[in-house]
Amino acid sequence: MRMNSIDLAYYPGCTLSSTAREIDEALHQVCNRLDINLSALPDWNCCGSSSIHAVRPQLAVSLAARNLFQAQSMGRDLMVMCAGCANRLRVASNQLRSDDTSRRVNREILGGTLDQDLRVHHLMDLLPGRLEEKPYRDTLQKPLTGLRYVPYYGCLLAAPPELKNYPTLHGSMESVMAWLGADALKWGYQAKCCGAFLSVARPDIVAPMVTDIMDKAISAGAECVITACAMCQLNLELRSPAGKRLPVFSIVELMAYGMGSADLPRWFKKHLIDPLPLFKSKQFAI
Amino acid sequence: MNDHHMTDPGRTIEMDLGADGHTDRFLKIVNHVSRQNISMCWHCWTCGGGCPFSQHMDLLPNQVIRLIQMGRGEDALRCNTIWLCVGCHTCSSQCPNSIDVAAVMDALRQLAIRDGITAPEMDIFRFHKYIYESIERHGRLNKLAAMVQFKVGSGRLFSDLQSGLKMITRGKLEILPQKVADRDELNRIFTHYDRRRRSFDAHE
Ligand code: SF4
Ligand code: SF4
Repeated sequence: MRMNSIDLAYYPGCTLSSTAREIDEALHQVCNRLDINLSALPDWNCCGSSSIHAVRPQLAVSLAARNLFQAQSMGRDLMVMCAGCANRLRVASNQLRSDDTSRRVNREILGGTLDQDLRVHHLMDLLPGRLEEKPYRDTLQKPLTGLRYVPYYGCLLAAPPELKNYPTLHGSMESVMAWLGADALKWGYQAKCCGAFLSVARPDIVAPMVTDIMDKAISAGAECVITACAMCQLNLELRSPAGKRLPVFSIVELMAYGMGSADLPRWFKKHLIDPLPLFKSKQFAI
Repeated sequence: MNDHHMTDPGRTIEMDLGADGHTDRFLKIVNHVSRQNISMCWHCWTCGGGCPFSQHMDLLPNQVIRLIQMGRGEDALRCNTIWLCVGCHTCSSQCPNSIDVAAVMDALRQLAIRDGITAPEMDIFRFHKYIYESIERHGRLNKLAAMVQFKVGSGRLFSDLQSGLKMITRGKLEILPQKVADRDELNRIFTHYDRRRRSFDAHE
């Protein structure tokens, strides 16, 4: 039954295509089950997130433009899973359509213009709606009944003012987790920054921030933290103090599990905080 | 807590009111590079209130903007604020005047580098430099190479060694770089912005 499928261009980005490949795998399994057909951009490059926009904002627009032009020639809207990539690509897409200087400069460099109203989706703005449709709601095979978690969005909930017309992702992780049968806890720390790259350059600043986030998750009574960003996940795992920390999951990893994926044990090996004891104590089959 | 009153930009006022038009010029450059209008800022301090790093900053984000409004661009380029900012947009999404403060910080970093101003946060500066160069080389980020360069460059080769090793063994750092196929196109992008670095147009 493929009547209802969604065709999208897919931008993997530097993290999901390399260091967080397990998230990319899980994401593909999930999209596959939900009839969301992804075709990766043929020759994508860094979206201009990371340090490029931090030191050369308009160069970052050109890097994003190169990706957007590829999606445009595929005639598809674009899907990404990284908060930073989504923001960069969306800002660039706006600017390439509305800012005359940017249009001219990027036509000069790349020989094209962005003419389509190309939507840049974040995976999480698609999933909740999809799971409400009957055939997809029924893809649940292995629930996570009674798993107590806190949703952690980090800067996924923040965006430049010009992107206000994009949907907020607030609540998207909760709907997916509710589908899995898990219980969300209120904690108020869902949008605290994970420290981003300062985790490398100034770990002394980031460690206390992450420790605070973990403390709040623990005192809320959570058994784990759910993220939708590979960098959030890494920072929470890497900079939290031993003995005072909870397993951190990617939302797609748990979704794939719920849909019956057998790859969880392999993905768990990439976690810096082992989630296996939690799965055992909750008696979730793995 | 940080004594923000200690860093009130009004503290050492010697205002150049821009008889030569200089005041306005820097502000215009910042507006152009960031595609924002910072004249709109009315200093409600909302941005600094939400910023996760404000307690480590010598100026709050709006104080940086204030300096620019007063024509003290160089002071704005010398603060540690622009380097500590990670571009999380916590500020931008709350600004009542829809100023993307994160984009302003991006623009200021570019201008500080252009003017050869030594960053008060050299480790952060180096981090950006190595990531930038990695992407300039391959079109995509090779985290391992950038991290090794960072460790060597910052002289902190052995700090954090354990977490580094853990990341490699867990497959969180890739050994082989991924590359963009169309090198020419990539080069055109980087060359364009390098060539025009020193003119006003550089900031296109
Ligand atoms: S939130 Fe906006 S208006 Fe308020 S101080 Fe910051 S930049 Fe200025
Ligand atoms: S974008 Fe920068 S200035 Fe704004 S809240 Fe985040 S770190 Fe602070």
